Amino acid sequence: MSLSLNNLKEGEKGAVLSISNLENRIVKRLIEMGFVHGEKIEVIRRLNGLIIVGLRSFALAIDSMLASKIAIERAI
Amino acid sequence: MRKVILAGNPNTGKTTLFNTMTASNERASNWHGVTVDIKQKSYVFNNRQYLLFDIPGLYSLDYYSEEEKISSKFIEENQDAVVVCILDENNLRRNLYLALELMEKTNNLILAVNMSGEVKGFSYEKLEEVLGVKVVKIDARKKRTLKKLYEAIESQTITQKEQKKSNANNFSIEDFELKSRKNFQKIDNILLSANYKPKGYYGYCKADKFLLKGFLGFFVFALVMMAVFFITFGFIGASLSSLVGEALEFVVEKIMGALEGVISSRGFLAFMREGVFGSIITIMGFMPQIILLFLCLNFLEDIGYLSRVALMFDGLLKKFNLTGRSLFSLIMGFGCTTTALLTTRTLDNQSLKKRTAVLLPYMSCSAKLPIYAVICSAFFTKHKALMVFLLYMLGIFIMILIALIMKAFTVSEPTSFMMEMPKYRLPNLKKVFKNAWASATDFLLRVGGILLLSSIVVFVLYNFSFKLEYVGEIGGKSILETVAKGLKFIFVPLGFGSVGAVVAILSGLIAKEMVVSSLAIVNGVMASGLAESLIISGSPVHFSPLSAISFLVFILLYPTCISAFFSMKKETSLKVALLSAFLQFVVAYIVSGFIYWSGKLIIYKWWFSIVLLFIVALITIVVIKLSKRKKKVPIRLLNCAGRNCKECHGNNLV
Repeated sequence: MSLSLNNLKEGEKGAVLSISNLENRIVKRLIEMGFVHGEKIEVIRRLNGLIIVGLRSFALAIDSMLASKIAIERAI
Repeated sequence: MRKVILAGNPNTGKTTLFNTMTASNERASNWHGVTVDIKQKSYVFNNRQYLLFDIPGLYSLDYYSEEEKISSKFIEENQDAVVVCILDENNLRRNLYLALELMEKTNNLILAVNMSGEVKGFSYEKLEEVLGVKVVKIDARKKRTLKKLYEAIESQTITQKEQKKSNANNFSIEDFELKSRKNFQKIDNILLSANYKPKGYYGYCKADKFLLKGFLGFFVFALVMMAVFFITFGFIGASLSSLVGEALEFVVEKIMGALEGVISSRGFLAFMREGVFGSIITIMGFMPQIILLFLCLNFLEDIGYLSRVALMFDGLLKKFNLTGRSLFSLIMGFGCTTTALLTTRTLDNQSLKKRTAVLLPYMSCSAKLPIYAVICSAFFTKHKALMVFLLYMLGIFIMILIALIMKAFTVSEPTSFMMEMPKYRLPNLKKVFKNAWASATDFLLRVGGILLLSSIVVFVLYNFSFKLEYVGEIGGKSILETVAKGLKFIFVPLGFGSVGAVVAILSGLIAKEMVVSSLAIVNGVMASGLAESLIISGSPVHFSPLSAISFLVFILLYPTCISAFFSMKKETSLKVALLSAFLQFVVAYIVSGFIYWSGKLIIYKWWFSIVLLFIVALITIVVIKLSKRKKKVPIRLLNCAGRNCKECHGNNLV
């Protein structure tokens, strides 16, 4: 079963698999931010429909629409 | 002259460095992508002149958007320039990505690491060694830390890099991902060898847990906004304002006294007193308040709170088909509509940008403040602050209604939101004041230039007849009076169909700062006497409390000014700018008419107020319902065919 970033709870960690179903322009933005295959991520906080994601040692806020397009695997 | 290009990720201190290096006052901010043009300025080091370019913040050199393209091309085409890439010490793991890309484009790269001393044990010598590029430590805010950077730029040998055929703009996203993955891995290895171990996540602060969510978050926001309002319009702003006004009037009286001794022409004296000095005093008196407003906005932005607000309200704004990012532009609209319109450039979706631009003018700009202040102090002495507050709220309410109506009748993609968390930081007070000073001088220039000139024109047109005779001496009708007479019937239904009010409204189209001075010219008084003269029914312009409200509402809503129109045209298109101006006229007319006649009815029978409240509520509910109806969402095309294909209604186009 594939998991999206949206499925992670606060404090849970994972690794990026792929990004799908988004315009190239936005995919490019996400890649530049560090959402590439294998990158480790952590959901720092969820608030009002936004997710604050920690990756590459910085915090990025993205909305759940974007988060749902980012496939991940949960870190054990 | 040696060329130097400053490149870097957004929000790394690039513009701050530019300012420190050249000792200038460009606007830098704790916000994504404020630099929207390439700025240039020269500086001198060791008797040699350098030309420094500040380009918009970039994440990578491959581009989809116009802005990125401009920056990327600029670096490619200027092979004779030294490129300085600024990196944030705390965010190297991402910032270095751009540095790696720059290394492919130019041989003349210098990395400037903006240090805050928070990352312990990091060896930048090692970084220099592994990358094979000059690395210097700086603190972008302090000039004395920049010596090494100046020297590095001076001693950099310039060589041309052979350009690989650029495939930017046409690259496949898969290739891009692969390349990025490799680069990020490379960065991790490099940083590992340089013993780089930052703590936690850059930008996230524990306090965000409370400041961003739920009741406490909104409570803090409300408190902050109230504080801003109080500082600007309350005791501090008002007393500073009257102080400046009185001081200036004192000076002018002295000058006029001297002039009266020399010149006897009444026409000329009146022209000097009311046309020239009158306008200066009226506008200058409001400068303290306008500076305070900018000070507050700059301060909130600099400590990183303003972008938190955008984050907090993203969910709410999505309901109006906007995103948190448009909120920044909207808040800037309280300062100046024209400059706020320029910030919509950083929104990455064309239709979102248009929607934000059209809604922006309803945020009451600071130039309208003097008008509210004068009229409210005449009619609503006791509830002055409340009235001004209500006007601001009305603007926001109308904006939301229009946003909902637009949402109901347009088809648009769901908007996405992505934002780096800017770091909370201690305010750089020097920068905050510098920014405020810059807006103050900008304001002065505007007053000194176009406003003074047009005040004089208004004075001449209002006081001289078609035969160019001074009507104050011989009687008869002036040029403007004749024109305004022809137009005033339009405003009779709104309750302020007097020649003077029409003159004020017409001049307000040039700039809102003109309105108060026009009123003063028409009534033939100085700034301090204006409020009083507006109550007296014998004055050329006078209002009843009700028509004063209607006039204020009209001022709040009708087209902002000429420069806002042109900046809207620049950011969107002529069509959108014209439509938006037309919409503003219509909305202003309807709303102030509605308020005027509601007032009349309520005065006639009090229970009409309940009926009218009911009507307003009904309209609001209908609009909300309309905006929620299901619409056909266009098929999202994964492989956009570009401009020739209209499937996505242009939403995918850059």
